[in-house]
Amino acid sequence: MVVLGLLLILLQVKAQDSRVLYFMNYNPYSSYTNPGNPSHSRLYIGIPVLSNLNISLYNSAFHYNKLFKANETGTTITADKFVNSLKKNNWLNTSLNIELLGFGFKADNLFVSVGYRIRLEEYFSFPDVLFKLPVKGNMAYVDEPAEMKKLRLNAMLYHELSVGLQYKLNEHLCIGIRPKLLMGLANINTKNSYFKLTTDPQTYEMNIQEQLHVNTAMVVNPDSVDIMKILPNVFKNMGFGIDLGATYQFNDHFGVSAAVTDLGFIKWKTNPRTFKSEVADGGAFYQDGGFCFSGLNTNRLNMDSLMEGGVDQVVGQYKDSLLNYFPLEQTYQSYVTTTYAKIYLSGYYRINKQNAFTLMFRGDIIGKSFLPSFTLAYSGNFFNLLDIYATYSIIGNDYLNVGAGLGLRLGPIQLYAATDNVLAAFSPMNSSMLNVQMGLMVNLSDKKNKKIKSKTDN
Amino acid sequence: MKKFWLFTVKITIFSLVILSFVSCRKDYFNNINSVEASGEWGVPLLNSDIYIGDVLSSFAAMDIEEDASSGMLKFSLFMDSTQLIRPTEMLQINNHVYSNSFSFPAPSGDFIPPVNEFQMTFQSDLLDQDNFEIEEGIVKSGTITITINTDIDQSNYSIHISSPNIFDAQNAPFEVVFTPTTLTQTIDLTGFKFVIGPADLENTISYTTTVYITDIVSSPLSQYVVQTDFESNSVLFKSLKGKMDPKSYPVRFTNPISFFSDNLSGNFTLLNPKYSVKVGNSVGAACRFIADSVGFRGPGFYSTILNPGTQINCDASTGNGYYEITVNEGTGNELVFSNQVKEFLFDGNAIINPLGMSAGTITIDDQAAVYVTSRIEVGLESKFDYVEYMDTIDFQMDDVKYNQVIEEAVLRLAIVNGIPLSGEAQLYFYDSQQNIIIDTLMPSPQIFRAATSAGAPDYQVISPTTSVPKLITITGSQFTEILKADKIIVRCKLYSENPNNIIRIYQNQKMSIRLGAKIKYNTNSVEL
Repeated sequence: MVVLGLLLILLQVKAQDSRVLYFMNYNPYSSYTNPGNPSHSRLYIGIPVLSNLNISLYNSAFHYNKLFKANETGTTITADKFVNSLKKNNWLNTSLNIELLGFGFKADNLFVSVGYRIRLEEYFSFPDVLFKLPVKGNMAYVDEPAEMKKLRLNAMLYHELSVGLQYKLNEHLCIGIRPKLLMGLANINTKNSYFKLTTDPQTYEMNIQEQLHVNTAMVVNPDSVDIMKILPNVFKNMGFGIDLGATYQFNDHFGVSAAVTDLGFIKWKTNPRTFKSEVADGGAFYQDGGFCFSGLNTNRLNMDSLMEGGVDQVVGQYKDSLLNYFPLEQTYQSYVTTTYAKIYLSGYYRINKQNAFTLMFRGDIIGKSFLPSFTLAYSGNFFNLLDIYATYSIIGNDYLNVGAGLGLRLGPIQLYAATDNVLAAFSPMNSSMLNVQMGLMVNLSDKKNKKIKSKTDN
Repeated sequence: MKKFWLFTVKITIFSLVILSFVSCRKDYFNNINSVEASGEWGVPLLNSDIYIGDVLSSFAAMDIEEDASSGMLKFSLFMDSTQLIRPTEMLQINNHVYSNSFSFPAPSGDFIPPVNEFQMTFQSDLLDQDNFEIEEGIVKSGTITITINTDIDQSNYSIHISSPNIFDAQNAPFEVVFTPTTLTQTIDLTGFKFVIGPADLENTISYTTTVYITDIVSSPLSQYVVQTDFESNSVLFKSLKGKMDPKSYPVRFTNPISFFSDNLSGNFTLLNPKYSVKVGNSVGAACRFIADSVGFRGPGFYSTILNPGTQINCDASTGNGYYEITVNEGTGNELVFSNQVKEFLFDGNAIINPLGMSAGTITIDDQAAVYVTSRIEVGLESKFDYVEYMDTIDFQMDDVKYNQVIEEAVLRLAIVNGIPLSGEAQLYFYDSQQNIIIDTLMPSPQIFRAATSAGAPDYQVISPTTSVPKLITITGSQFTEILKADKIIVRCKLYSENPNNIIRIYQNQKMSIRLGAKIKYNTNSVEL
């Protein structure tokens, strides 16, 4: 209950790595979602910390109205309703992005941007079995075993120095690339996780198969925190990443774009630890590579212990022997993880210069997992100073994500804000997507663009 | 119009965006006081092979062991009340007083005896011992006091008493000298040896009294009288050799039988019990045990295992150790065990030197003893009626909270029985006023049926019986009632469906028990 409470408290953070940013053509930071997205800036300088702030939480499972309900005297935890609402696979993802330094400028057909930012990306995927098994019990899994293949926690905290290069080849095609130097700060990487509980419907015999392989690394040694060693470690977990993108405009109305971002890797060297666990032959309960518990065998009970130390001592002995079946091996080798790449594919229909509709597919690649999403977006420009965006997204199995974005260009000052789920404002505790992307910068628009805009207005 | 529509849309979206950045807060977790959760857990509790030998050892108060040759279980009753017979009373000589006197002429007037030595030999019965002809005996302790009374008025005389039958500790012939000032002497007989002629029923000892007088002077007396008084005191022989009549000693002891107890009752007839009595004899004479009453008994019940008059003969020990003889006797073919059996009775007589004088010379020493022990070894081959265990267990679970969470619990008991006995079990729950709360937890008390056995001679189990798994359902209301219980009575019973059938219990006979519990819970009615 406490854990659930904490999770729900976390949900009160209203934020998100906005998909809306992808459609903000007048925002130079849209190049972070597609470096081939044509920039309309001549020069921009981000305000440190404030220029590109993104906090996001995607939570497909823990919704207040599924977990709680009011009763006459207080609140009821509706565990049954909660576990019944779970999808086969569920997500709890967070991301944080703070740009400390950012600027860009245009040189003829080339647009160069530089950014240095701190990023946190966390993906926790869990099958419904994780909660359904303890609540509904193993007898709910007699027809098919309680199996967890996708229980994974992957998280990465790193800082990134990137240089974006965008080149407009012609009136139709714009390509971009953003190589990035990555420096890891902390990581947890679930390389493999498997759990299967099979229950015999007649005898209730339980067979457990289990495998776990988790890597962790931190700049801080958790066993002995030494402040002096932290700073050098900040630059030891080096990696490289790249964003690639292209936009092709067929005519004034139609165009497509494609991008791959955060394609890269980091080699983790500071305080690396690898935890491995697999059912081992710990004694009589080991069977067919798993832990098979068919009941206590009185012949194996140490009756002397029972007489002298009582049930507690015997239970203690069993607990100790159980650990023999589930050993946790810990090693200390460096390892490499890939960054969590995103694939973007989109096509747009521009009604006129001010209004456009775009259909976008985004896929997040997290290790062996893939989280797809589809977004339909409306982009509108108002008085050449106000940009308004509305989106509808299907993220994973969640269909209720109505997003919105706002861009305000007041001369050289540009500020923007966006969220993928505006409905979260009305019911934050029941929303899957909570995010905000906002920023403040000095942005000088491209003259050509202004000219085009002036002609259009005339 | 189109622009108006677009403007309206833009304003609406703008409003939504602004709203989205304004969060509302409320206390979402106010007073969480209930949980709606329901599920069902199935847990295997027990998966064990239980051997009948272990069960019997746990409940019976006797050692159960495997017969090495047959594999059959057996138990033994050792009659620890071994009775030792020490025939030391035969080495104890009663105190005797023996007197004799003689006279001889005194020097009177001109008569001066030509010799100065007067001698007389007497036959004493100092060692007279009923029914024992002593040929040789070595004294362990005791004294003999000899007092001389005489009227000899000579100033210089001595009286010598000697015996050819007595030798002192140095093996020198016995001789004691008395003077006028030492007419009473006590002789310590320790280490003395008596050697007596054969076929002398009275164990006669010869004494010779000799008076020596020197410097004889005339006496007014006409004769002198010498009276000799012998008094033996607490003479105890270390060993005696000789002939004796049979000597009978009673042997009687009982052993409480604790196969059953207040908790354990039953009725069965064990077949072919092996009874053995062991007689050990270190007496230098043969020994015979004659049974009178040997068997199991209780109020109004007696089951003999050794016929009255049964004799067990044990030869004489040839050395310093015991001569032992173990005699196996099987009286009848059945030994009935029931709640009535309370003790084992062993009653009879041990007769030392049963052949009497005709047996010839025997030897008895003060370390010699005869012991009698007995043992019953019973294989668990029986006509089995039943054995029942019943116990009352204190039960205190009334402090359990949230018991209404349990909607239903189902215990599943599956048994594959390789024991040729059927079994029942039942639990009875009582409250503190001794009112029964639940008495039918088990829908039917029988939880397994007997395994199928072959016939004679081995009666081995040929086919274990697989019982239909028994489902014991405890409803939520029953569970609530159970928590109110103060005591539980547990009743388990092993029985034969045909008590006339012969069954054998072997070490390898077992039952495989699988017990699991399925618990359905629902927290909806619980307030935290």
